[in-house]
Amino acid sequence: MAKWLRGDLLKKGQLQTQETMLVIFIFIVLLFVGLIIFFRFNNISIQTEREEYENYKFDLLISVFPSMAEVSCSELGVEGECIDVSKLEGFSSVSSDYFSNKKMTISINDVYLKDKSWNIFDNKPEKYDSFRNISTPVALYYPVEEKYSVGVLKLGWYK
Amino acid sequence: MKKGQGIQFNWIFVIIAGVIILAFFATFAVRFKDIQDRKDNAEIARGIDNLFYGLSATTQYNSIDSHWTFNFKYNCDHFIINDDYIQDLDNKIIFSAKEVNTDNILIWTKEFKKPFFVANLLYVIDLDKEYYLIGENSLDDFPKSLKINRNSPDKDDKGVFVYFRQPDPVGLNDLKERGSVIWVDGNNIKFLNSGKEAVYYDESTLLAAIFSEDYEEYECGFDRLMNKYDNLRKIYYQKSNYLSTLSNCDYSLAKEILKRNVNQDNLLDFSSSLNQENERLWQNGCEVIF
Repeated sequence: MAKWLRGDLLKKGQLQTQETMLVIFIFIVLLFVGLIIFFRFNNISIQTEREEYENYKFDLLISVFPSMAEVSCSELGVEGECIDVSKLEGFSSVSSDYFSNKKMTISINDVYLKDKSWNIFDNKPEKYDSFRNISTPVALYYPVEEKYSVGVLKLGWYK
Repeated sequence: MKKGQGIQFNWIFVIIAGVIILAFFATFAVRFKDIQDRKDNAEIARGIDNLFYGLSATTQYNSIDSHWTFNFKYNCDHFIINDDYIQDLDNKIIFSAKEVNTDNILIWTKEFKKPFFVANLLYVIDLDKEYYLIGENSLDDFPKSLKINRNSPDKDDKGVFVYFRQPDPVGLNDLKERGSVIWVDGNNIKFLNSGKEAVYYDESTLLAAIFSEDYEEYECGFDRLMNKYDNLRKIYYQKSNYLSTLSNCDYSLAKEILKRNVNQDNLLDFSSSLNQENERLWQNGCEVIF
């Protein structure tokens, strides 16, 4: 084979090897980028699930709160389905024991008696991104007057 | 480059590229399994936490069946699944052994009322574990899925051994190695594995001690219960103040009782005096405290 032809083939072979190396290098880089994106995505989805669960627990609190022994009505040890307003002041003074690690607010307003409202807990952080507010109607019981009224229980969550 | 060298280079090149690609897939598989495990742990933890939430409002029981064995570690204010996922217990009052390895966990509740309702105590129970109740006792209302044995344990039996009479000192050390040994002695509970003693008031707190298995775990749940009890005492004190200023009834004795500091030793006396005063108020047509 002519010398010039051998040299040409050798150059062509080297070029092919370099090309293959480059293709495999790019392929591996793409695989790693894909891997990183995949795990990032998975971590975000785990984080999102955690946040969704926190949201769910916050929503659950509005149904759990009125049945807490600390605020619910009771007569001779039998728990009722209402909020005893005479317990609210006492509960406000100890509420930090229950929600101390939560950045939230809890308040109750009487719908009919505008001057009757109770701020049960308020832990507003200096900085927050968003504020989520939920409310529900509740039955309020005034034990001295032995009367029932309608109130609104409001929960707010600083995120 | 010679022809032989070219072939050699090709082989080395293929091997290196192969190893890198194989390592990539191996890493991917390991990391993927890790993520899946984390997701499963979170799912189990949330399942248990949901049961806690649901059952803290009712006196019932419910179980969580997992397709695989998991590890539940109780740490007073939180629990950990498979040494990975940590879930806060918020204000729930839980009684559990320090560590449970099972695929079948039962959550059972009992009401604690002294004299006012305080909380539903939540018990975390390993359904694979056997509970031996030795000696005369009044505990009989157990969920059917629980393994309760009322006979004395045999030589190889393992589990939680609860004695309602003084246990035989012969073979006691051997028994301690096979599980937790608890001696219910009057109003005291002796955790013989750690040699420590605690009090109980009723069936709910006795069961709490049995399912806690040891002193530390029982004390932890008990302290949380006492903390909640004290908060409720303060709330009822404020309520009696409120009632006394707005009604014509005499709440001075109720206020005096509710002002007392309650501890493990005087809780039963406190409870009975407050109950009597509450009934007196009711009989006199006054608004009751609880």
